[in-house]
Amino acid sequence: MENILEIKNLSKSFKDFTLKNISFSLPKGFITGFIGPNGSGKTTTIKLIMNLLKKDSGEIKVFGLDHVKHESEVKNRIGFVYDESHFYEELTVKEMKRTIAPVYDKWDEQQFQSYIEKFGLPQNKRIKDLSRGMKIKFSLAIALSHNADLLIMDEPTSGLDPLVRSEILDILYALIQDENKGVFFSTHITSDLDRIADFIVMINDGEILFCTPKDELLENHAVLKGSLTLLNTAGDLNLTGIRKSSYGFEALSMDKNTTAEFANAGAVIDKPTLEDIMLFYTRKEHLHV
Amino acid sequence: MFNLILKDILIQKKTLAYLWFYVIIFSIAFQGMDMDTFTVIAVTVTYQMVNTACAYEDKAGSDIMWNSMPMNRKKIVLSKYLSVFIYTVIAALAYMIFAILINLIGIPIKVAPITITGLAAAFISTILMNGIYFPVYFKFGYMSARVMSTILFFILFAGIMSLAQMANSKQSGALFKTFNNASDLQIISAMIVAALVFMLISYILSVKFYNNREF
Repeated sequence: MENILEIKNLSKSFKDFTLKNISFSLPKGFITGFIGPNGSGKTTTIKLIMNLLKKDSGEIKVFGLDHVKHESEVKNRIGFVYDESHFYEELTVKEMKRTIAPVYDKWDEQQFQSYIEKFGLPQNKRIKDLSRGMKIKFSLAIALSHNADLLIMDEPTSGLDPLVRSEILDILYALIQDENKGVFFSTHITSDLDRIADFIVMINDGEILFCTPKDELLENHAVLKGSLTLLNTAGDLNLTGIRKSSYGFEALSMDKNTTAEFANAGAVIDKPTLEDIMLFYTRKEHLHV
Repeated sequence: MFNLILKDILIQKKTLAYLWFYVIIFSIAFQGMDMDTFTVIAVTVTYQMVNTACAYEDKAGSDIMWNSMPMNRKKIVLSKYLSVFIYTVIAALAYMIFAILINLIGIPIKVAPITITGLAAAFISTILMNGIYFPVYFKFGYMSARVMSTILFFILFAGIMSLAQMANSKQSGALFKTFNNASDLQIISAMIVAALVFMLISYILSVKFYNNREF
């Protein structure tokens, strides 16, 4: 499987946060969800990919090319949508587009006009008069109108109503039907990824916890609930995010054997959602009995 | 790159309205004074427009957007430097239109014509002011550069007025005597060349600072 993005041993240190030697890759033709709690390093990673931050060490390759040496070529093939639009509030949609279009080698005006129509964006309205949903849609229209092969999105759906979120997800799903394209989608609204993601990369406290196909992730994990006695008598088991109370315990099983053991011992087994997995992984208590 | 300059002008539609205000106020305020009104107007307009454009960049956080696009950082810097000349030309056009209108209507305000010296002084002053401002802006961002630009503006404003008075009174020392002996063209040419060299150094510094900026 050819990779559209490869990150190897990437590090970046700030006064109060460090991205620690992270590595992962994105295969072509898929939507990869990038999850993690606030402050875990999602935006830092994206800013490093976009060369908005300078890496301390490591390697970032986009389309097989170094992201700094071939910056212009790489960025011509990337569309981005951030949590804020960064457009000039005083300009109209039309004026903003006129400013941006010449920057891209393969700007497709017809494509842009079709998205404008599809999203119902008023071309003569000033950016400051657009709703947050409209601004994100405008960002998306720009991102999709220059034949980008990789779409990088940083929390694009936060603060949007379910209808707009659903519309955006539908567009991503349609986009990915072209097997040469890829989407890297950072979010903490994991229900969006439950719907459309193929792969999940999870980051916590500057470290990558896993980079796995979503179906495999959901299949291998399970939420366990049972009595404390059950937990105390457990054998060689792989659990994370254990929460104990006077009524019993709740934890995430990280493999099928552990789940089977607990099921045989009478624990309640629930299928996890991505949110469950994220929450259990980011809780501090782990147990490898 | 010209799309960036055009954008700087488009986001300042309101500031362009103030342009007329400056032209009218300064033309009236400097009536009868022995100096080039245009130079003062050009410096003020350029100061205002450069600052407003940078303020809008800061407000939008647009560095993040441009630097996520296939946009060379050198071009971003260069567009800001070139915009200074465009603003000076805009100021000159506004001043000329105002002069023509005053003549046509017959209002008894004397609008001094734009002289070569006045035009050169305007270019040199704006180059000097922005040549200092831009490296600070590209290194530290708008908020840090704002205070410095205000101080610079007032120093330059006072400087232009004193220099004009000194040069015209011809009472000054050796420097002005030398200037008075040389032809106007020689002095202007030498000063423009010095200003352009200064701007080039400023541009190189700005590019260096901006290339190292993180967003």
